[in-house]
Amino acid sequence: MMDPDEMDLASEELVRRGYSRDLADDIASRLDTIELSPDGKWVIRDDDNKIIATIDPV
Amino acid sequence: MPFQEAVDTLDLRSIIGSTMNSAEWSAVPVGLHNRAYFSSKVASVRVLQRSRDDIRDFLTSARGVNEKGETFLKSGSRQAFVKRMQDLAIAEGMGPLVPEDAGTVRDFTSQTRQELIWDTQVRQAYDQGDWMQGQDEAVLNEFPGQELIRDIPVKEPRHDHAQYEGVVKLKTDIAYWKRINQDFGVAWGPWGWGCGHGVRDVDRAECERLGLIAPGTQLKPVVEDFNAQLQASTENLDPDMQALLKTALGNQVRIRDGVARWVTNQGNSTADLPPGAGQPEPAAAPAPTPSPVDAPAGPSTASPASIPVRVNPVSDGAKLGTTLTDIGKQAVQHALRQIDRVHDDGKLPPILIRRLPAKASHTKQGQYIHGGAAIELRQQNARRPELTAVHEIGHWIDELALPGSGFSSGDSPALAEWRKAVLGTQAVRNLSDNPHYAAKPKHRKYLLRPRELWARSYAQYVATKSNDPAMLAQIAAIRDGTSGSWVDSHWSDSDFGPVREAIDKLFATLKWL
Repeated sequence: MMDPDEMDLASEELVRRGYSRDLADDIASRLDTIELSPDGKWVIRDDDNKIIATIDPV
Repeated sequence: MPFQEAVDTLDLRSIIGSTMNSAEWSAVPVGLHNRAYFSSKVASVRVLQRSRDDIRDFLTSARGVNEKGETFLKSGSRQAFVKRMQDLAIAEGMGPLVPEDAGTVRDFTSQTRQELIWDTQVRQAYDQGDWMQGQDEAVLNEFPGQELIRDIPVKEPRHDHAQYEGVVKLKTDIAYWKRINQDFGVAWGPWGWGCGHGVRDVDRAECERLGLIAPGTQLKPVVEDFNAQLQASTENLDPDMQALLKTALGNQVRIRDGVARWVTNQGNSTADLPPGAGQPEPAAAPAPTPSPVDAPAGPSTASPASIPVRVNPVSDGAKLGTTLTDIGKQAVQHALRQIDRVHDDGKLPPILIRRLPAKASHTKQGQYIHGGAAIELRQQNARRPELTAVHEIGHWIDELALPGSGFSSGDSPALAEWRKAVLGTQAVRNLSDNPHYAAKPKHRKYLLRPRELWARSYAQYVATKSNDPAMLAQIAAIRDGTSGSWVDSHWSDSDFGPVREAIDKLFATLKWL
């Protein structure tokens, strides 16, 4: 389970990497379960199972 | 195939650190003594926990998986145990108090001492397990007697045992067998320090010929009688004994109205004890305080479940990676033990449980990687390691064991009743509606996702059903607002009732209970 501070930090990190605030927040709220791409990146999907981001670990 | 009764007897022992020596321990009431995992003059609970976990791994033939996916036996031999414990003891600076003790049984870092610990603990577990099996009514009436025999030659045979050698007595004659076992005060072996005796089962025909039992007489097991004796030994303690226990054992023992009990908060078993007999109480959880919007959380009133025989335990699928620290492994093993107490899983494919990569955020506690690829858990400064482990295992079960495709919590018809129950709780209504949470919409959104609701409710289900003090304390810390999590991310006992019932029904339907 993620705590609020954990999620805030992840979101801030994503904003630093250039993601919009909304997308960063959305990604951060999905990090308790993740998918790994073959090259070790985290694949993030929305509620419709569509990939919304492929990121380096946060 | 593990010798389950032997494992169970080890699980009943609370880990107790104390500077007491063997003679002082022998003065401790047998009901406490028999329910403690201790070693003379060893105060470190952490070291004792490691020692007990290694013995348990041996008894259960536990296997791990390294990062290459290779399976290995975690504790395969007495020699490996001795080496590991010697290394740990040396690293912990637990050498002899005086130089002349070096290498002797008084030196915790010595091979001799560790071999003695292994021999005693393994033998106690096996012998008590044998005794338990022998008390099965059918077995008892087929083999009602036993004879003390010499199993192992020893350098200095105990003269006081010579009189009992070759004598056959009924297994139900507790007084007789306890008389032999002066050192440990129980009706099974080992029969004393440095004793090489064992017992041989004697069948009904021979017992009848010896006049120990009349033809047609049916014996009743005496497990309850023996437990009552153990319990009695912890009651009506005189003031001197109470003072001694408090001085030597501090907060590890609780004495109320002259009755002593262990108080434990480490990752050992606290459930599944037979009645009485020094049964440990959970360590006190942080006192819950009412949240502004919900009923106060309180300690669970769930009674400990008995250990069922699991056909497909969840722990079978969990492979502990070598990147976990010892403490991290203990947390996962503890979590798995509680899960196994509560339910089966059908048959989950294996999953590797490993350390959360260093690159992950320093506040992240754990994560589940889709497809059962891995569970990753924080190893340093983990806030609630046991609860997090169960939570992430909940995601694994959601995706790969519950009926439905993908994460079943979202839309599987099999979980409709659970969804209705969880969405109807006050805690979830608070998360949705309370303006207090409006400032952090992404966290609210996260907490309200079905898969997250499932993982949290599953973790609370396991904690309450197993009545596990460690996880209940972690939930209490969330509920009283001291953990950094939102209070309503978990439920009060009363609020959680319908969710627990829904999961009970679901698991019963799946034949997991």
